[in-house]
Amino acid sequence: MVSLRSDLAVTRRLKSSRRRQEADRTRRFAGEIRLRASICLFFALFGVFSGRLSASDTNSSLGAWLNAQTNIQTWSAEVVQTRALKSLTQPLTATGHVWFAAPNRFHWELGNPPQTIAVRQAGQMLVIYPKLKRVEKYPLTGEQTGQWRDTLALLEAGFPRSQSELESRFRVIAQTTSNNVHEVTLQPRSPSARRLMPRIKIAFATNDCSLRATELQFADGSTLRNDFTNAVLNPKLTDSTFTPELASDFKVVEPLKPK
Amino acid sequence: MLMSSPRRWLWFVLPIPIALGLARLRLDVEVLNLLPADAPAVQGLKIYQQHFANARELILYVHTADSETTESAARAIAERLRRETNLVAEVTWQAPWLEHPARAAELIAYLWLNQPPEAFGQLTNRLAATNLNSLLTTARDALATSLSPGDLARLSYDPFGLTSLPEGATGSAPHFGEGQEMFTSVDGTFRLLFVKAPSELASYRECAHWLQAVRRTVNEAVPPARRSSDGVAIGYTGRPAFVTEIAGGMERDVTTSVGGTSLIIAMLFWLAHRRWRPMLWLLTLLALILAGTLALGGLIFGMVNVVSMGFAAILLGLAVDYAVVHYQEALAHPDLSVPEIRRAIAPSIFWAAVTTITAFLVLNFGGLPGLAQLGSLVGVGVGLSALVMIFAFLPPLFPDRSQPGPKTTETTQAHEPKASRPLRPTVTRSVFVGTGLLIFSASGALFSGHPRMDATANALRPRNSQAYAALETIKQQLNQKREPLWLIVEGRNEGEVARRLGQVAPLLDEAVSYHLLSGFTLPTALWPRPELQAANRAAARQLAAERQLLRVCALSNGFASNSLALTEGILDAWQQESAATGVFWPTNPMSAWVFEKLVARTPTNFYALGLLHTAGDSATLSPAAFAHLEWQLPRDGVWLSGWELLGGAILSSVKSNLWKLVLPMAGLVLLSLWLAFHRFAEVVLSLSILFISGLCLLAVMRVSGWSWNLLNLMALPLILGTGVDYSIFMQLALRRHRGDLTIAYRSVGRALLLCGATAVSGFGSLAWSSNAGMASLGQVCAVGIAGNMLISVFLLPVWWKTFVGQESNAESPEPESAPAQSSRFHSRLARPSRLYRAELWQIGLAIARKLPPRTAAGLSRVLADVYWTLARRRRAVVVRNLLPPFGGDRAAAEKTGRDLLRNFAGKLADLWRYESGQPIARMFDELTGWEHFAAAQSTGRGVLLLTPHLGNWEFGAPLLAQRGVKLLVITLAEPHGRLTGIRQASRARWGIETVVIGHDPFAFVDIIRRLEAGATVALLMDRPPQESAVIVELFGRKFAASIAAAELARASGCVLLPVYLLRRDNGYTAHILPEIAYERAALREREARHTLTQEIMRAFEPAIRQHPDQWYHFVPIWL
Repeated sequence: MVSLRSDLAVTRRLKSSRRRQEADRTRRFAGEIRLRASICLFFALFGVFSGRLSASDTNSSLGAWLNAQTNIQTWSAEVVQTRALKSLTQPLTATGHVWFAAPNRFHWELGNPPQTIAVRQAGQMLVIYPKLKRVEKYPLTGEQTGQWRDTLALLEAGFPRSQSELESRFRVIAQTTSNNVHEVTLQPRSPSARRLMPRIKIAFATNDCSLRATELQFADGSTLRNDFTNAVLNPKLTDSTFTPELASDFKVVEPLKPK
Repeated sequence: MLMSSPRRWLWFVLPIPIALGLARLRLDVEVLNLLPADAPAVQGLKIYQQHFANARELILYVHTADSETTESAARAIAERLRRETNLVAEVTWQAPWLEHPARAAELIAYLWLNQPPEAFGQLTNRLAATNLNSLLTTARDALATSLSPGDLARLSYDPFGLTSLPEGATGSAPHFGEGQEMFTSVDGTFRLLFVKAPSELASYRECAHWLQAVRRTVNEAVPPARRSSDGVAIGYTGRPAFVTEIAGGMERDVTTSVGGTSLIIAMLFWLAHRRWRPMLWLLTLLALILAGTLALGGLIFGMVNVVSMGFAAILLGLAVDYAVVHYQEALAHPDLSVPEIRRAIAPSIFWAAVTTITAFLVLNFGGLPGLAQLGSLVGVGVGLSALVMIFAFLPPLFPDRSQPGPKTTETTQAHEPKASRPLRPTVTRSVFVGTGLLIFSASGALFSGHPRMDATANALRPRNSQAYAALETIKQQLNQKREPLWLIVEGRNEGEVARRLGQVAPLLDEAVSYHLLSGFTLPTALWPRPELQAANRAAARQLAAERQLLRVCALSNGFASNSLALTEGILDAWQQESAATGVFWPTNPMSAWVFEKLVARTPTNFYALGLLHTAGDSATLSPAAFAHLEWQLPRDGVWLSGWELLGGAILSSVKSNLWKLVLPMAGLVLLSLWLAFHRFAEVVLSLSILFISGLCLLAVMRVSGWSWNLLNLMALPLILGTGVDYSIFMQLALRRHRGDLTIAYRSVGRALLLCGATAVSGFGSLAWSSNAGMASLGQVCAVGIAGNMLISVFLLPVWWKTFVGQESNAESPEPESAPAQSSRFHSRLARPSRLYRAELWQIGLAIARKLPPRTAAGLSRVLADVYWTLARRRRAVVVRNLLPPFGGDRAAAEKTGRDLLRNFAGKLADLWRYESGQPIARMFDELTGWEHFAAAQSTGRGVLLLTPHLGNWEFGAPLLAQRGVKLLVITLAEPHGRLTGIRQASRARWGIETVVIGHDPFAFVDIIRRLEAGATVALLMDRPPQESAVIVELFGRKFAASIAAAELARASGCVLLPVYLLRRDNGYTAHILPEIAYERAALREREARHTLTQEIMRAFEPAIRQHPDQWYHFVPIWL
């Protein structure tokens, strides 16, 4: 799930825990080599679990952020989407907005006026092209294959509900912290997802665990980055947010329906 | 081994044709060649196999518990195999356009060229210079806002939207974002790899070697240790795997079935006789027979199919019977020589072989070429077995019995069978209760239903096949509930195929509307349209010429150079094809991969493959449901086919042809039974056995869950043809032993059990065949034959004793004491052959009128041989009649007997020619002794020409007629009154008068008067009526001759002239012997007349001794 302010208490707890870690690190500097050696030995013995161990044990920032997701019921933010495609000489930028409601409903809008709207409901996802007056309906029951599954992955990146969910879908391959922003690089476990998107990055603030950015890397090296601003934690959202009204002249298609 | 020189040379020469035949032999593993070639379903399947099934392609599957491991393993295997460039031409493990997207350009270019000019025109307009910027801007906007990774990928590398073909343009071709569902399951844990061999795998051995090498390479890529640790399952299927399995199965089947049957034969023979030498010699001969039959199969057929290889075990089980019978006879009659045993047994062997061969040859009418070949091979093998066992089995085992020992003039007979004692009531009751229980139990088992009929083609498939199991796994994992049916469209050119595709599409739509089909895929969209291509070439050339403009616009709108690779490829293809004139077929590897699934091209024909998805459950698929659709489809160049249709279609054909097998077999069985028994009750008993064993067979099938299928239906004529022998042998033995069950069982019962057990083992060994149909055929035949055998051995004797035994005791088939012989002799005289009747005589006359002499002569020889073989009693009588002239030499008598019958048949043919009015003057060659006749005539007395049944005595009359001598013939009344008239009329045509004398003594009065007047009269001396018979001596034996000649001499004083006409190579030669002088006055005494009669017969003795093969007596003549 997206990090949020959660509560000051949590933030404070995180801050205090961070201070404590720094103090501990300072105090134990002398034994760092030994610690690293131990860690390396530990990784050598249990290397297969190193990813999980890195995600869960060696980096509490990610853990804290993941824990914070459980407190999110709704979330909204402005988004600037930057698409750096290898086939283009310059990146493409679009602005938009995103709304989220637990456990898994979202509403993405890109463009102003919106060029593309993606709404996930309980049993289906709608992709609306206002300009084309076209709605694509994707059922969420049954098998999710191919492009449809990849689309969902693209839209849901950054909204894990739990650590176990994240770990079931991704492998953590790198983590960095810079300027109070912690960036986690994930690799999809699914080969087909990995084929299309070999890397996904999630960046969140270390102070309040708020989601700052997500970035998807495609197989050809292209990237799609969402930078979130003006995030609001647990705003009041109505059901109409996730139930868009469709004009009667909109053509509804079901691309996955057999012909 | 004592052999004559010719036979010794035969053993040296024989290996040559055997080696030639074996060298020519090829194994045919194509299952479709078992089926009738003219069946549309088979034709369609063959076309599919030949053009679409890709005989070089092996399909591997990789299955693990998680998708990542599966992909890793599949990738490792693909990469490893690709390194083996000598072993593998190509490995495809994902959609080719995903691996090499640039190769899609040619196909896209082709699809555009196939569009109507209006559609291509719309593309041209879209790519007009004035539209390019807006087009590219739209693309950029979409790239900026689309949420579909697929669209992002497509637009990135296709800014001009060339991959957005008009709706319906791709049709059956996969969309370029898709295709993985052809290679992987939904959850990714199951993947397929397609591995293509570098060259055609022409033989099954090449398939086997190549598959082995691929397996080795796969094991290197994914070692067994990793497989077990990661839980990697790998399976192989596709034609190379099937061919290897089927061929390997064939080899194993032959080895297993032949080896197993041979072992059982050896065991049974040992248990029965406890002798090594005959057992080993038997096995040696069986091996030679098998090799010989295979060699003959190679010479006759060249290719032997998978079903036909089952012949070996069947043949072993049948061939051993002939050896067993010979051996039993040799042991039971130690006084008989090998040739004598051979003569005694050969007829029954002949009959048994004929029925068995016929039963198997009848399979040629079953409509299944595979089974026809099996039947022919077994038929050839049985014939060879009969010959080999008759002539080669006994001599090495009994070298001291190669020549007959000194014998009396009569055949030594076995002990005179005595009439047997009646059966105990408890035995009778037990057997009948047992019979009743058997019928009741079998009926009870069938009460719940009959064995079902399996209408699928599963009988053609191999059993326990890993390749098929892999195929089923693939279908299950890729969610293909059922194989589609195939619609194959053929044409001499692209236009013809396109036209036919257009014809079938609406019919298939209609089939979908009434739920026969759930859907269909035709390659219509992929099929080239030459006229559209020609129409679009100019526009394509124009677009290709604008590539620089397109490039500049794209780059100026922010697209990088690499975004234009696909566009450039399409333009290249258009540029190339716009300069060509022929039909554009895309040919790069990706296009070839797509097209080979649905299209095939040969130098003369084009083929398109459509896939029809049936509605409903596969269990309910029936050819009848598709009959209407098939009827609607164009007759020429369109085939509806598929494995699921095949079974039902072939089964219908088999069922419709079944009457052609069963009726002739039933007729042959009835004929065999009648000729064997000539007794209604015994025929009914044999038929009852067939009925009850059939009931038991159905019950066993029902209880065991076996079903009828298109192969084991052929068991019906086989069981009829082979099973009936047991009841024949048993009942004949019971007759021979006059109902003594104990002796009959000891002499024949054990032999039947042994023979039956070997036949059952031969058929039963097929139950382990790798082919499902052959296994079921073997099972059904084994059970059917076992039922026949067991009932014949254990139940039939009591039935026979109860219903037939009394009647049989009243008959005496063998010669008895002298007084009984004499009375029987007279009764025999009154009973000529049943064939001697007016109707058949008239048929003979009619045939003689139509056929040329040579043809008639040849036909008569064949019929004589058949009669000699079939008519055992007459044959025995003829041989016995010939023993005195040969001094008791039975061998000479038997040989001469056959010649006698042939000569008699030739004589009949000549007689019919004569009596039908055909000219016969040319048939006469020489006449000797005419001076005797002239001298007799010059005396002014009557001339009595005397002749025995030697040569063609009938021709004396026309011979004399030629010389102007009118003849009066004295004859007895024929057995059928009408025949007497017919023959009289025939002679009258030649001016010959016939006097028929019966038992009226006054008939001679007129003859005496004629003789006194100087007439020439002819009289037969032998086989006289009882009233005029006297016993004389001929060849030292008592013989009945006619005293009428002496009587007539006394009464008229006529001249007695012995005459006879013999057939030589150049024609008939007539011999008139000197007059038999007598004292008329002395003939007043009967004794003198008796002596004169003796003298007359003695005058014929030299001629008869010299030409016994023309001395025609078919009733006993010796007293």
